[in-house]
Amino acid sequence: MSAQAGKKTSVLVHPDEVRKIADLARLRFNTEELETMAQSMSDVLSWMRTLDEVDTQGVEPLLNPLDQVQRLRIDAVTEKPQKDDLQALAADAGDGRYQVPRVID
Amino acid sequence: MPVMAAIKFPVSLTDADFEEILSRPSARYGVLGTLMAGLVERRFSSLELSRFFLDRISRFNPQLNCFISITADFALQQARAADQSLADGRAGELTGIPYAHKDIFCTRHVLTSCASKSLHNFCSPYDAMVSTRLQQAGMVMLGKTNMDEFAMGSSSENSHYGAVKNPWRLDRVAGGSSGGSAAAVAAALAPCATGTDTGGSIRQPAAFCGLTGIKPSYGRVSRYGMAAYASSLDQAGVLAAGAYDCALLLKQIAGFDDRDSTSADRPVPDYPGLINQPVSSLRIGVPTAYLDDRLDAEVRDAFDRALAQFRDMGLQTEEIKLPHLAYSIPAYYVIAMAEASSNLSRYDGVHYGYRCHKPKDLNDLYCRSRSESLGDEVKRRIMLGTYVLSAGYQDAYYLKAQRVRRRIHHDFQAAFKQVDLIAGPVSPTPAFRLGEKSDPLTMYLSDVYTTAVNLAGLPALALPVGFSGTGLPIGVQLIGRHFDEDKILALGHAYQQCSDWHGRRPDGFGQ
Repeated sequence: MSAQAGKKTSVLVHPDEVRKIADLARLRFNTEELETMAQSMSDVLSWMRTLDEVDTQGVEPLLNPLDQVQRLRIDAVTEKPQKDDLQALAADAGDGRYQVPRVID
Repeated sequence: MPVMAAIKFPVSLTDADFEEILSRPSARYGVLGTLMAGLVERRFSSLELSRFFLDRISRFNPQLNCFISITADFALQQARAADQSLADGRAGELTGIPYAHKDIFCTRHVLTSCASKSLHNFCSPYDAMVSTRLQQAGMVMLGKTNMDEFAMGSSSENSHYGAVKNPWRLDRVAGGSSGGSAAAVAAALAPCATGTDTGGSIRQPAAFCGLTGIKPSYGRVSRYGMAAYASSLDQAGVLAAGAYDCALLLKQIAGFDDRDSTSADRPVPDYPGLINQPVSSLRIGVPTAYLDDRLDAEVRDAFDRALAQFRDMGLQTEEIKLPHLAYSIPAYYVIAMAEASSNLSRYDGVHYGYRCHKPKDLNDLYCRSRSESLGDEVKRRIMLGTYVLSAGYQDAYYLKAQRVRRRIHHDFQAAFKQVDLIAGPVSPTPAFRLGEKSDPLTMYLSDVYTTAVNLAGLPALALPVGFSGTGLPIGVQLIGRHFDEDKILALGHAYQQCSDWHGRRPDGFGQ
């Protein structure tokens, strides 16, 4: 029951680290949001560290709940071309291409 | 669509007639079986039935906010086609039955928003496998239901379209993330609905709204076209009044699909046909040590009464141990957030969905499109998921959680050598107040009884077993071995033959 109460490892995430993680996740926060996120992440991560109480020596990670390996399909084309339908969903597409801001000058 | 001959029905039923049918369904065949009999006997048409529910949606959805999209024209078109099938003798077990569809399943040419601003304009070019199967069954989609954004939440408050309200008490949450589906069925705006369950998202709203809901085994229902939150935990299922209704629906949506690489390649049992299998020899395990002071006294009482009822029905109950169950919530949140951070990287503003105004470069396009369109809880989970997968932390969090997950899996395997199924509460309390759990950690802790089932990929059925003093429904869950959906449905059905909790309906919705 200690997963509720115990906070053996206290994790403190600094706002600078939050900014680094946000860059990786392609998210952006203002200074105030960074502070709030740092606090919130510290609370949740500290709670997650209660997992340290479980002895997992020699236990393999369970990645699929049925402990199965992912099935691969036959390498064959199964879809019909639908470029126009798909590009119609984009905010900016034209000439058969997705448009984004210039990457190379 | 071919031109269809006009179909005449002998009698036109009034709303009062339909309400009478809904309030007194056959104990044995449930709401859906009763409606289906009416359709087959041509007492009413699918068109009339669909109009009845669409009318209720237009009257009561404004106060419940359970639908994001109402697809009336599409529904009537499908209802006419269903009536034609019924007239031609081509009808299946649920042809012409209306349903509400969670807005996480892709539906061709209809908005699939996942309750997110990021997909506020997304009309999928294809159907999810669950959508396809329900269409092939001849069922009638009434609309798409509200939910927590990308299924991340336990209250259906984290929605770009506003919070869902609980029909039993409008100041309470409907549960989440399939809260719109649950509220719609509870208030009889639809006779049944789809849902998805990553950590309790079918079972907890079912319990909060007095419904029966099944989260099938991982792999039982195809995840193709179901917006991914946490791929190793997500599973589609259904919510309805009773276990027989769920059996009928599950039979339609279950089955192998080679477009979902984790789909189980095994036959689908005839769940409705197996519903009356003998259950009295089943042994029920109860993780007694886990029913501690976190559990609300009224929920505990209702759970104990349900166990007593099972014993009266001839079943044995015995104590089991699940030593690592307490660690299922932190393990669940590490894994779910890690998978979410990866899955949600696709919402980049380039291919579909929200794009920010005048990005100054490509990175600005990604960052602003995502930051301006994803909600706070979704961002928090992406951030935490990115953190636990980042260099230096992966072993301590992500792999640690997956190792704990195997221990939890082993606990269940050991318990299932001793018993045939496991009974437990769904939620530690009945539905909480809107806005009550503003602290994320407090919200996460409310998933204490549900997440272990997803970590182990097991099937579980939530069913109503009583009410609190304040008139709120209380549910329990029956957890089965992998692919034992037929057994938990049969026990749920047997219980519902000698109880009427699943037949209760909230006041104030026109009946």
